[in-house]
Amino acid sequence: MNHNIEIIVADDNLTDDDPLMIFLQEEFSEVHPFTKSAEAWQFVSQNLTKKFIIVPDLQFPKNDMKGKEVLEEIRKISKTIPVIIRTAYADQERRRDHINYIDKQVSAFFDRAGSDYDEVGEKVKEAAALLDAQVDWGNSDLSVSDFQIQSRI
Amino acid sequence: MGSKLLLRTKKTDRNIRNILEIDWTEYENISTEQLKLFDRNETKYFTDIPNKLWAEKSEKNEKGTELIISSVREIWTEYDIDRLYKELSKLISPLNNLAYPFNIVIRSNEYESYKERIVTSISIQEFVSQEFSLEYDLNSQTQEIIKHDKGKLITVSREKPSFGFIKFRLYYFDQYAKGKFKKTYKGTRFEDFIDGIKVYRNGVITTPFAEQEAARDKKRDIPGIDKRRYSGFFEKVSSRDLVGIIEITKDLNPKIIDATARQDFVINNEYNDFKEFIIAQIHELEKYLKYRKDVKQEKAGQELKTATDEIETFTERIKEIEKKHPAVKDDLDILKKEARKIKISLKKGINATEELKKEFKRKESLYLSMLSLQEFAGMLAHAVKTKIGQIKDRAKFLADRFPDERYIDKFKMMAKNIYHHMIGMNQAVEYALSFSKADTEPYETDMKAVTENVFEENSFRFSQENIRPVVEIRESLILVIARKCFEDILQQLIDNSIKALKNRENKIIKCTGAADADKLIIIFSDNGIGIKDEHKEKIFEIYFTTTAEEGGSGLGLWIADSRIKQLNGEIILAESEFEPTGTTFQISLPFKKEE
Repeated sequence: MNHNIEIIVADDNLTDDDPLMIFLQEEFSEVHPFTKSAEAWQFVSQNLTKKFIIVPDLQFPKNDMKGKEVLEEIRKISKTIPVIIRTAYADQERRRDHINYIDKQVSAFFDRAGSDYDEVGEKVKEAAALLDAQVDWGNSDLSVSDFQIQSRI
Repeated sequence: MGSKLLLRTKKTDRNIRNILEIDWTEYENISTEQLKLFDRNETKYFTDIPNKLWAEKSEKNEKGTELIISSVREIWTEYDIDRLYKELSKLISPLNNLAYPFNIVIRSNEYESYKERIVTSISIQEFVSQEFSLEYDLNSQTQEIIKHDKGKLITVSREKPSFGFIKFRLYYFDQYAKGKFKKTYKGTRFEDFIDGIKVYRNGVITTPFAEQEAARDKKRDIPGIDKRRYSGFFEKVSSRDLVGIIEITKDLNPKIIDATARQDFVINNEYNDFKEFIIAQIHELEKYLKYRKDVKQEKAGQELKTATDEIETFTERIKEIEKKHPAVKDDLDILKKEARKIKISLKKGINATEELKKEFKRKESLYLSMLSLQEFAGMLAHAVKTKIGQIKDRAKFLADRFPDERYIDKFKMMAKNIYHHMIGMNQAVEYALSFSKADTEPYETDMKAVTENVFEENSFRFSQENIRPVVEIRESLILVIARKCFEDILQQLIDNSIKALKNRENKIIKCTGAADADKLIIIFSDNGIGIKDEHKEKIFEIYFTTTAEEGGSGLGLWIADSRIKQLNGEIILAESEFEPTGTTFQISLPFKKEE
């Protein structure tokens, strides 16, 4: 169980039985679900001393922040917070804005229907290992290049 | 062409030659790497690679600029050089007012025709079917524009545009002119010279590129012509029908930022105005062409009718002759028969023309709404994908973990949710099916009659639920739309209202409609439980529902919304006319199809 890193899942359709949530709760002591992206962003920005991994959806209701906006805000304050996107718009978004996601250093990009919850979960674990390793480089032989953009469309 | 460029330039009277080297091989390696890695702290962008710039000593009398391309991937054929010639011939404006004049010379040892050849522009004037030259006048501070006026295209003067004064030459080629041009230049470097509008800044071409633009009628390539389709259709002019030369200058148009430096390119108001200016000019041309076509069609129709009348007169004459000279009756009968045949053929012709006209109108409406169908397909695919993702994750979790006792409650919840998601998905698929079967071709629809009819069809449900329906459509309004679409919208709103009226007193569903300038406004209300503030933004979203327990799938209002979009209309949540409770939707549907 990882106690160092907190996970933020932002998805407006999130329910208690979401398998990714259960998977993450088994691995991490702090998993925060948010159905409103603006609240997720607020939580992150008010707790900057903590270490987060963020798993946002891209599409949110009109009055909420878009996943992309959250990503932009996060990148304004930190280049290192891992962001793993899980969305039903993966195909469309990647086609339209691939370079931007690379530019914003998105760790991984998962298509909702094309990927499994545990794949996403494993990627979060991988990112956590990398984040932990940043504190103590001596304990890890992972390097950034082991971590590549995932596409499963 | 190749991966490495050496640019050498030298002014007269100086003894130094400047040299710039751009090595694209290095760029190529890096750009491939970049698309692979996620962490870019260590890696440069391909644009970060510096170009090498240095100076060399040179002879004083030497002058000019040379471009030397190496690391050539394939050997250049004569055809390749032809293409180069063609592109280079566009580099300098045919209006040619270069601040620093230069010639471009191609030298090739291998090909006879390119031993030493100066690149020149071609003359297209002899082929064009319409030609305009728009100038400006600094004294009166006016800019000329094109305007269509009852079958004529005239130039009129307008005040200074926000982006500054420009010179604009526009050459239009109709099918005949294009055919002639193609025949003359077939197989030569100028074969596809007719390819839209180019912008020259101080005589040298700027680089156009397509922009990301969501709104359909704004989707153009720089600087503004519809490139996608319609060449020759529906009086739309595409870049394959035009050659346009626009002259801008640094001094007169400082706000039109050069598009050649793509990374720094900023779309500002002046640039947008510039684009719209060009679109407006082409639009005037389109109006003119449409007018001409309409007149021609009208004339052809008239001629057919006149011919029918003439045949009538002809038959009358024969009858007169017959009376005077009964002896030739047999011979005249043959003529009468022939005349009757011709008359029938003419009538058939007139009818067929009318039919064709109608069919053309229908097709035009359909084609112009095509993109919303595409968007609709995308929306539907997304809806199904969302559900598949949710079902699949839960099914996998059940397969992986069942019967882990810690999750007994979750298993139950997942099973239930899988069931609900399946129902939702099934409804989405059913909807798609009904869509594929439904008659979605637009035709003249009496909105009052359709509305009353849908309410009539629901009368049994209304009486069962004790609902008082009120329909007030003031006038009989005819819209050219797909009737099925409109029926769907009303049905979904009615279903939605019936749910909202459950367990309420004095139930009312009210639908009023009236024409407003160029659209039909429909107000649809009920005095049910209303919509909570926090849900207001989400109600048109797919799968959003507050009545999941009662079997609500969250598709109703989404369907209504998507159908309305299909009709180029809009639905918004208005203030309830039955305050403090109740719900009111305002729907607007345009009379005219989008131009």
